[in-house]
Amino acid sequence: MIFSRSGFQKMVKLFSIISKNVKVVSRSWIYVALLIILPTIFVLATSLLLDSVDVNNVKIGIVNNPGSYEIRELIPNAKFSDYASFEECEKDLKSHSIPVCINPTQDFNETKIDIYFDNSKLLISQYAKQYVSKKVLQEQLVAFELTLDEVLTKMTSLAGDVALAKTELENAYSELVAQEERILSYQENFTEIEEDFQRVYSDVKHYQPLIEDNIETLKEVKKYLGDNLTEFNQQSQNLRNQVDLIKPILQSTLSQEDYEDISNRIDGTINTMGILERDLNELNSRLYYDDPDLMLADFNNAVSTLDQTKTLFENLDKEIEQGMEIIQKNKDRAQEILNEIESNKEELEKIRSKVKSTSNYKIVLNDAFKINESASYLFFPLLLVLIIAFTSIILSNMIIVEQTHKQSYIREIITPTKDFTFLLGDFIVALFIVLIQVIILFFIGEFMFGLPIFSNIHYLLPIAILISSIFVLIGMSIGYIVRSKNISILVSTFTLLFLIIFSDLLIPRQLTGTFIRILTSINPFVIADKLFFNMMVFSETIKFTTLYIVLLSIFLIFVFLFAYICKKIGKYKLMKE
Amino acid sequence: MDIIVLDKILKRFRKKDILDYLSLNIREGEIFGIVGRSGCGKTTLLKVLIGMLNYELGKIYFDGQKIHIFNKDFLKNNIGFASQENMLYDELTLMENIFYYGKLYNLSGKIIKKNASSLLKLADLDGAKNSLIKTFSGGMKKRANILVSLIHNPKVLILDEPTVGLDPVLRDSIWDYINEVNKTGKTIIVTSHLLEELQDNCSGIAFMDKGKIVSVYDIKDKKRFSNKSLNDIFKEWVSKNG
Repeated sequence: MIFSRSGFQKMVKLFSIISKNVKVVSRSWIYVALLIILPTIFVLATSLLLDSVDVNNVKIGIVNNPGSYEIRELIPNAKFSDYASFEECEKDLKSHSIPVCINPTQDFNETKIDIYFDNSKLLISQYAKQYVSKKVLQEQLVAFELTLDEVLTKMTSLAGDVALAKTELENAYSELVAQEERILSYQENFTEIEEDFQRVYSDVKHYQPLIEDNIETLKEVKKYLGDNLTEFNQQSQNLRNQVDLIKPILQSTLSQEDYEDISNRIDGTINTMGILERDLNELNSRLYYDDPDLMLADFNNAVSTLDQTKTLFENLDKEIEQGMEIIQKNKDRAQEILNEIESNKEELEKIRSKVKSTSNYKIVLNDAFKINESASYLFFPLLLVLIIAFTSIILSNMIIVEQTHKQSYIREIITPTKDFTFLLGDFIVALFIVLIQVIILFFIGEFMFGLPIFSNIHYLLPIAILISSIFVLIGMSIGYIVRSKNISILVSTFTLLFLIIFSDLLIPRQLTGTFIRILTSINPFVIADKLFFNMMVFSETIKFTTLYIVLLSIFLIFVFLFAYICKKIGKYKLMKE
Repeated sequence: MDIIVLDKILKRFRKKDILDYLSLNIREGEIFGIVGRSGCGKTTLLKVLIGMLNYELGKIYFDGQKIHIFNKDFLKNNIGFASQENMLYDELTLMENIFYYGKLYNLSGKIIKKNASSLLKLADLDGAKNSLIKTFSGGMKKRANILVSLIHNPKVLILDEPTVGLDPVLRDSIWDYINEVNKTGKTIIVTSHLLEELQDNCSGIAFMDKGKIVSVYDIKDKKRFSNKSLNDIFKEWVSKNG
């Protein structure tokens, strides 16, 4: 019987170890206090703390400068602390009395708002930033949307105006081109006229002395004619009078035939003389009206006018040239402006498209989940993991340390019982104690925080067992390998701290580097938190968390082997003492 | 007949020979005392005997059977050990301790009960069997400690300074108990600094020094102990050998 190694006897041994451990633990009031009462009080106290968490409690320091009223409007329901000056506000910020100080200042027509955060207190600073930013963002988004619509309308209108201005300028340019063509044609005609004029002018200038001489001669002729015409007219009249006297004589003396012949001849001469007289009189009268001095004066005036016209022509030519230059310059400038307008139009179109596309992005701050947002509800899974980790590591370590420092442990070693059986017995008891706590915590979670725990108990309990097992084995391993009681507790505490530090509790792992992120993501504390959170808050089923469960299972196997090795090493160390 | 034979046992710790080719024979049924100055290797020798420590060289025979790494359980099942300190769980009753350790020795409940019945009577602890160990007096604890060491009915009982810290009356009662146990056929190996007790109760004594057994005395050798006590011999030996 003594040497029997049947499975049944191993089970009996295991049961015996479990039974002994339960008795030892349950008969020590300090264990009961540490294992059950204290964690329960801890959870209740923490839940009380978490229940009072409200970001609206963040005290916001505000300097009462112009613009502070608008800021208060931007952050409704906030708890403001008023300050007369920035220095006072800054003083309180630096003494951590307030986590945020808002200082509005007037800069010309703008209100500049400086917000100072207490960056030495990272967590409260983040809360304050989140709180202030969210409130301000919500208000500004509405204003931004309205402004954006207005800007877009204005830009569309401006784009239309620019297009219109371009068309107008193009028209003006075409007008300039037409004008230029007209002037060119005019210049061409003018050149022809000027050439003709030049020829006439040259002739006039050439004949000017001759004309002047002729007019002088004419003056003399006129004077001579004027002087002799009266005498000629008198002689002519005398002649006619003589003829009239002669004619009756002749008629009487001469045959009729001769008389008629001579009379016709005399009449012919008288007529010729009359014609001559008339012509001379006419010439005289003409000369009388055409005063040569006047004619000369007129001629000189005309020459002078021609000289002036020539000068005018020359000036006009220059002006035409200048006009052409101005038109060309205007054309060039118009082209430049057109190019500039074209480029600005394209730019404007781009900006308009950008503004339009921006206006298509309607930023709405939404929550991804429709869940109870109370801190106690959201923090409960973490709290649960924290207590499981703490209890499992520290208390399993304490159990092992207490056990291995008793002389009864030596008696156990010298019995023909395998280390594995002891390990299993210790593990089951520690796990059992932790699970009592877990069940208590489940009740608190279900009935105090309203988490869906018992409806998911078939998922949650196995995971709680898995997680607790890992932490229990970690605590046990330390208990086995570190022989000094105090150092063992210290190492357990540091291990726990290590697990907590490399989790999301202090710094979100998304903010950390790759190595730390990987280290954090395989941290059983983090996985446990994630699993409990997803299952409790999102009621996620076990199939969505298979990967994590596999990971934890691998971890469990690893720590079990590790605990076994630690037990062996611890035993060896004890033997050497 | 020798129940235990140690043949040139070498045990080293950090390049120091704690047991230096130690050889010792212990006869079946005797009460054998081991004496030596502190640090001479007594505790290491006891740890080797109870199977807690391995050794580098040498051979151990128990009841004629050579002990090696694969039959250590044979040694464990035939040796009981009680140190000077209480090796029981204070939070358990005596009976619970008996049952707990009995089960670790693969004993059935029936055998444990049967063994416990006679052992309780022998240790005069029958009336306290259902009391928590922490309520026991010093003497009761010592007897309970020895009692539990005998629950699996070992052939050899090893006691490491069983009377240390007890008053003379209690010491006598413990020795009475040890003698009673011895009368049941158990071989008892005892270490103690109280040499008079050993001289009064042991049949053989070994002097140990620097990991070696330097002398073995037969207490029945009246000639040797007629004029000198064991204490005198030990002091004489110490003054000779430093």
